[in-house]
Amino acid sequence: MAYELLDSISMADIAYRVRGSNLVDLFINGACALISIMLENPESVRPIESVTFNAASPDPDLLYYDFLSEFIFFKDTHRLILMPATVEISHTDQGYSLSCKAMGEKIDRSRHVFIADIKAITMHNLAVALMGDEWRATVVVDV
Amino acid sequence: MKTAGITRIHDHLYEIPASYKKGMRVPARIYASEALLRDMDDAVLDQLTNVCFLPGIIKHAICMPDGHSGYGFPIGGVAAIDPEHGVISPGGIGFDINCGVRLMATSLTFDEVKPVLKDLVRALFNRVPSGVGSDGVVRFNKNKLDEAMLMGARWAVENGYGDSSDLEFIEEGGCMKNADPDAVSDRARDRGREQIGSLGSGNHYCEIQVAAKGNIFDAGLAQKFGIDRDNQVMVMIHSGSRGFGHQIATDYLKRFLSVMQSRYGLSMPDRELACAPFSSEDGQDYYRAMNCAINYAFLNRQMIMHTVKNVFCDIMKKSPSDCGFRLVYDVCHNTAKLETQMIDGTARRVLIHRKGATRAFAPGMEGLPDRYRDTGQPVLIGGSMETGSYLLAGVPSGGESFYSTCHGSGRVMSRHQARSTFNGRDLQKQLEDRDIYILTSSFPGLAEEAGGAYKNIDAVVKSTDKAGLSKTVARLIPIGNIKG
Repeated sequence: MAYELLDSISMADIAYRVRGSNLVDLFINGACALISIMLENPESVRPIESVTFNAASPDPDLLYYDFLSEFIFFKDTHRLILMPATVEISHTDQGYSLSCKAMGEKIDRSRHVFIADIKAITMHNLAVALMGDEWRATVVVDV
Repeated sequence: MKTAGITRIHDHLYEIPASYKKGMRVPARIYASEALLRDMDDAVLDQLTNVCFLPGIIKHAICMPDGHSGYGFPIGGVAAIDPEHGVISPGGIGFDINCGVRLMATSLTFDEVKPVLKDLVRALFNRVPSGVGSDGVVRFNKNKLDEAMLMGARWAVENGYGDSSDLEFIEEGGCMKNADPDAVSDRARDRGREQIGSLGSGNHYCEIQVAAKGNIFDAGLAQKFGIDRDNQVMVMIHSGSRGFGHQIATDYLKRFLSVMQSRYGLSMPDRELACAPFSSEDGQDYYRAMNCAINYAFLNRQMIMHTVKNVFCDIMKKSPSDCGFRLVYDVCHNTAKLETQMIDGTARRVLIHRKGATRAFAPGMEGLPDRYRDTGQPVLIGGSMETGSYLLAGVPSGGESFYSTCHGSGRVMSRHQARSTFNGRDLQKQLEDRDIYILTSSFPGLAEEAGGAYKNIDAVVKSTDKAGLSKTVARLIPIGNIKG
């Protein structure tokens, strides 16, 4: 999974861009990037515990905000570091809805090497868009 | 920063006219020397001029000498808003509501502490929870957390975590009125319940510092602020409202976005500047929830200080009174507060948003403790772990900046650039060679906080002083530091 850090957007915080061949890929890549920004060794996260959550929004970018925010919420509230396992997205006239199954484990600082702690997903420059035949997302996170 | 279109008002103040960008209601001002201005990143200009779009903004949006880009407001951003006709914006406060700094004096000297310095730092690292996933020192059920939201640092004092005299030396007495737990979501409660008394990570730290005679710039003020001997040991604590405040900001940012245009007909150039009229139900709900987070952060720093005191007593084998602990002051960085200020000669109630900026009340202003009535408010400028920090005082000329001043040195490198440039383990060794002993739970995180990733704090403080934002009192040199 590749992501690109965008240093010119924010000096204090971290901006990144991910791509996906479809919306589901874009969501999965965005969450994986989030964990890779926090952890030096994201491969150390073992899929021991499973969590499911849903989100709905009129716009794909606000859905992205809710989706990524869930990973931060589980980290702080349940001490769970999670990777997305499956993501299903449906689109109707009312907007977008999402169901995600995420897998991971309790934070173990003897194995999980943290680079940064993400406090929140911000709305600054948040963008989810189809560019030609690929989806792109830009996200700024508060650290 | 590209300076085209920016006018110099004096050597440490620049103005961007309201005509710079369509939609700006007022000009923007940057307090900085020419060199500091030149070194600010371009995004600061864009973010600061966006702040000028906020309905109800008075006179000008301001950026401090330590300014750098963030999201919504730049870090170092200040805006005064008319509370009757204007808005409140979570992006003008930040996710880490009431991230702030407190400074505690001791009666110990460097010579007394030096032989046990490593033990002291090790014990602080072991006993002050820090880093990702760390639990706080107390766990609250719903009722206790609601009490804490209402009482702030007063909860700690009433439950044996500090002295009642501490409260006088915290902004707002350590307790914001108009806090309402009913405005706080269950998700925020869930995130905050187990984090009270923990540092967090990123640029948060607990640092042991020394105030040496050669670094005192105003002996009279230093004495009144509690620096009364050479090589006096001080402790600085930098932390905020942890996940509790982050979740409140997240909740309300989304809520404001959903109603901003449809209910209030407002639009902003950056969604992170989502806002609602301060007097509206949405605005008031956020204000009350934000005050809960301000109180949470006051409590958090109070609990951390309590742990620090216990560690000092244990390692120094002295009683609290023999250690001579005294809270100098506790300042907020990320808040929106209602303050009475003189605006063009008239006393007005204004809602001051400060994001990465410090309140700096002048001598005689309402809200200062009696001890500081004649000195002005102590201002604490946290520098990097390499270069030291500063103690300043509020001054009458600060009225031009709504009695606001800088809060740190300000970044010149992104976190990613800093990690590419510095190595955390090498840095730790280099600093130990310079008699600064540091422990961290994240070496990549330590690299992000290298002195070279920040502006020259001496230049920032000099500009702050010369601009008339506050007066330099003392420089504090780090000798030990724990980072999350």
